[in-house]
Amino acid sequence: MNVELRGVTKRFGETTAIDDISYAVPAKRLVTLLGPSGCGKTTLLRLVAGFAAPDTGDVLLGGEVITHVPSNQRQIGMVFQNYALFPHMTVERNVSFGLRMRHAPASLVARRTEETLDLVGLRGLRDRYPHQLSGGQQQRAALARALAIQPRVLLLDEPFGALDRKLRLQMQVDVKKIIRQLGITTVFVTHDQEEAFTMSDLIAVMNAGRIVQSGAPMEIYDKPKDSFVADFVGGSNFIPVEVAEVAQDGLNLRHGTVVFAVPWAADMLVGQRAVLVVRPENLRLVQAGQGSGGLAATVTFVRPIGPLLEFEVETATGMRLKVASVRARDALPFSLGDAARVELADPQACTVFAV
Amino acid sequence: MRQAVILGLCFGVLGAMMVAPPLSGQSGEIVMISYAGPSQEPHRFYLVEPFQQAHPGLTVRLVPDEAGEYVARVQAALAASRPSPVDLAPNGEPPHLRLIGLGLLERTNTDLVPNLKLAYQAFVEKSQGYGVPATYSLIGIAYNSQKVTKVPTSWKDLWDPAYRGKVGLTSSSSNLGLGFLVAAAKMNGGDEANLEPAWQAIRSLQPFVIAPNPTALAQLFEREEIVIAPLWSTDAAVLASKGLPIKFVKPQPGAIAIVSFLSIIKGSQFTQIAHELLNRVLSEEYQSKAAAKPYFFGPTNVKVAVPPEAADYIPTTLNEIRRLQTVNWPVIVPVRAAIVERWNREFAR
Amino acid sequence: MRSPRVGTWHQAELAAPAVVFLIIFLAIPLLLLFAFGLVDIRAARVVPGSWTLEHYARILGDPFYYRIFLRTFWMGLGATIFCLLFGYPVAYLFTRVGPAARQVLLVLILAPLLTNAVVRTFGWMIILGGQKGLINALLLRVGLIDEPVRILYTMSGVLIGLTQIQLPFMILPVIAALEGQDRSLQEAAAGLGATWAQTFFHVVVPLSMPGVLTGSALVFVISYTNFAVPALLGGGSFAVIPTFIFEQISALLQWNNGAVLSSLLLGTAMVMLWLFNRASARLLRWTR
Repeated sequence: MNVELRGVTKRFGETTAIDDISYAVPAKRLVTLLGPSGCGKTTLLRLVAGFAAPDTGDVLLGGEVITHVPSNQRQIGMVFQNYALFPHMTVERNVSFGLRMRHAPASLVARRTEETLDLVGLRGLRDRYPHQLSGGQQQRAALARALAIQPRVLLLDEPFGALDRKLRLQMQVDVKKIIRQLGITTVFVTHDQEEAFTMSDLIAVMNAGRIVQSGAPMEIYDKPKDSFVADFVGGSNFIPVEVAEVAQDGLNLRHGTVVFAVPWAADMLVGQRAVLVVRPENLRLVQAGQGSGGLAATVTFVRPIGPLLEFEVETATGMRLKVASVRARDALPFSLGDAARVELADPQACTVFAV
Repeated sequence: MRQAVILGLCFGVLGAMMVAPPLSGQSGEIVMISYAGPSQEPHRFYLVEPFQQAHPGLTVRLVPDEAGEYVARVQAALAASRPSPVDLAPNGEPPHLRLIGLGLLERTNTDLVPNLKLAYQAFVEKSQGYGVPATYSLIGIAYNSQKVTKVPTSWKDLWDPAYRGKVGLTSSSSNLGLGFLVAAAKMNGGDEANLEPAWQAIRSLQPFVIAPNPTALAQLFEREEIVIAPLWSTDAAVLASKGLPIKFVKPQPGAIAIVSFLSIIKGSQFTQIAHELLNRVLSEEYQSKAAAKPYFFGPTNVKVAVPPEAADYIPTTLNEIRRLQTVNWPVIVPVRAAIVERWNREFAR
Repeated sequence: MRSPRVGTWHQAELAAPAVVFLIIFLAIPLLLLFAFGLVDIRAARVVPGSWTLEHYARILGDPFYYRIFLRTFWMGLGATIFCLLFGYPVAYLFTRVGPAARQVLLVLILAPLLTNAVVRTFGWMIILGGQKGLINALLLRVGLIDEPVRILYTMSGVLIGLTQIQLPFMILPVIAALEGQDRSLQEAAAGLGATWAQTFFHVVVPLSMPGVLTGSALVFVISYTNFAVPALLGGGSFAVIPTFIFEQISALLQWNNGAVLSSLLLGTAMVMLWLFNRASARLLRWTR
């Protein structure tokens, strides 16, 4: 069932948490609200859940306005950041809570609880209290509790935040599988872009109470709409440049004495200041003596992280850049203090924003 | 080592606290038991204040206690060979006899109390040489004249069905309660040695309201919880003086008179100077003030005339004095504990 | 990091004064109290070598005292129930209002602890006492009763008094328990379809049970052993054990009876606390 926000604004005193957002979550898709803390993503989720009411605008569910429908009548499942499991109830009582509160027939309660516990793999732990469960098990219990009411929409508020990395990655996959299996419309909130890419059909990047860009994950990564998205999603290098030449099929951008040629047209004027946005993996380090062009730089930090090598270099112009490359076994081509040149690997994959 | 020092210090300080004598015994403060409420005023204004003016170094602290609660503390102090926490106390006849029996009263040195010569000798004899007869009061019937239209004349009137549930009593651990118990016995063919008729009669008086002490009983009149009760003449007088419609009658065959003795307590650190208070309580000055409005304590000094407005509360004619009922307390006092226990088993709720 | 052993030593040192204090002013007097029931006491003096079980046997063999103990128990239980009924909503309200209202509420909650006994007794007289008492005046005005009912010097009056002064001991632990509750639990319940009442009774109340149980234990024990309130509001001959002990000692100088009844009062209170703790432990299995 699709969720829609129409011109929704929410203020807390002087601060505007949600600033005139209109957005539609398509049915049966998993949409991630991605943004830094304080961007309003959790508030947006709470508006959908009905724990808060917007100051203006409407929330729609399946085309029906639910702005003022109390949360207990929305039939929306939510998994809280801290799981909010009822500590005085066993796993089974937690999972069956929603059904029991709706006075569902006992046989239905038993059957649905059973099914849901099976779905999340907690059948054997049904008689445990939450404090007797591990973090991952609590998370599954919280998910089961939300799913047991057969929600029209599932809301997940940073549900993996409390788990360690390995478990987190596993849970992301498991949860995604369950959601795909059930085909349930899901809104997922996180500040972790990796998590967003793992889970999402669509990503909406939020900043300062607005949705700044939304689309498929790779689209967000490859074609960030502005420097905030470029920076927040994936991280980028920002090289200040001046437009040196505007041609039919490309631009020449000058940084100091170095000129970068990018092979696409943009609506820019010669002499205009701009910023060239380059992903770390789109930069390449070359030995100082070899070839020509690029920026002269010194390696200031080397971080070998498993499959990748990450370098931090400082250019002669005083700029700090991040460079990433696939690490070959036993090879460490540059060490701290080495002189090198920095080149664009694929000029096609750069973005330029006017400033 | 350090623990030992700390532990030693703690015990030392606490030990010192326990061994050191209470300061009150040394500071020139005489502790005297008194009545509660306005009945305490004669003690305060006409006994303590003149005494303190005559002895600038000494103060007298009046402690209200109507149920003889101090006795246990005195007994405990004497058993532990400590000075008595109380120096003087007024006691009606029953507790007076009881305290003599317990050995808790100091014999009076008559040389130090010249005013004893002015006291009614019959009362002085009752003191048995312990303390002085300070005042006497009557136990009669107090009633709310607005709620009780038929003026009661006899103890029997308490049993009038019109007052059911509106009768106030105090338990027989108080003098008032004991006196009423005896009156109820005599009225129904019993006496001090045969109280059974009294128990029967009081049982048939239920439901009644039991106040913890006479002052509380007086408060029940104020709040109209009760309309009629056996009460001290002095308490009734105080209520009337407040403008309440409370009247006092001396019922047939006569009101019960109980003498109150002021006595020095065994173990007092002030036996010598306390005799001056005994002398002062017998003085014409004190006696006439205590007998005046609104207290109407019966004077024990032969030279003090009963003021005319006291007629409702104190017998003024010889005839009336003759009709006063006295109780054979020596019979009652030894079995007091059994009486209180019987009362509790019958009427405690 | 310090070894646990070092830590324990330091803790022992810190606790030493309190332990010594408790031994001198609590343990020893309690033992003496118990012992006083096992010897003959005449004129407040222990008769040497007079060990006897007679005093305990006399009281334990007398159904009269069982009745009074039972009454005392009902008094404690009644006060506990009323404190819970009146205190819980106040505690709940406290956790729902803003800081300014909290200040006011807190003062009101603590007020009974701050007023002295004389003022309080006077207040009770005015509120409970007779035809002119506030409660009677109100009930008459509303038309619930035709004639003034007696409240002063009845069990009802005593329970009203106990409830009033004991309320803070119920309210404060319940507030602590409610304040510690994660608000998202209530949202979770609402999200799962629970109504306000369902959330309250299935989530808020069960989670506040630790506070409720602490408060109940406190109120029960303080009420069960309370002397002042039954003495002031129960009137003469109001038969509960604490007033009875007082009468035995102060009016009758029956030190033996006083000691036996005091020991039994303390003993029964401790046994009830122990049973209560066991029951609580079952009820609170879900806590860590």
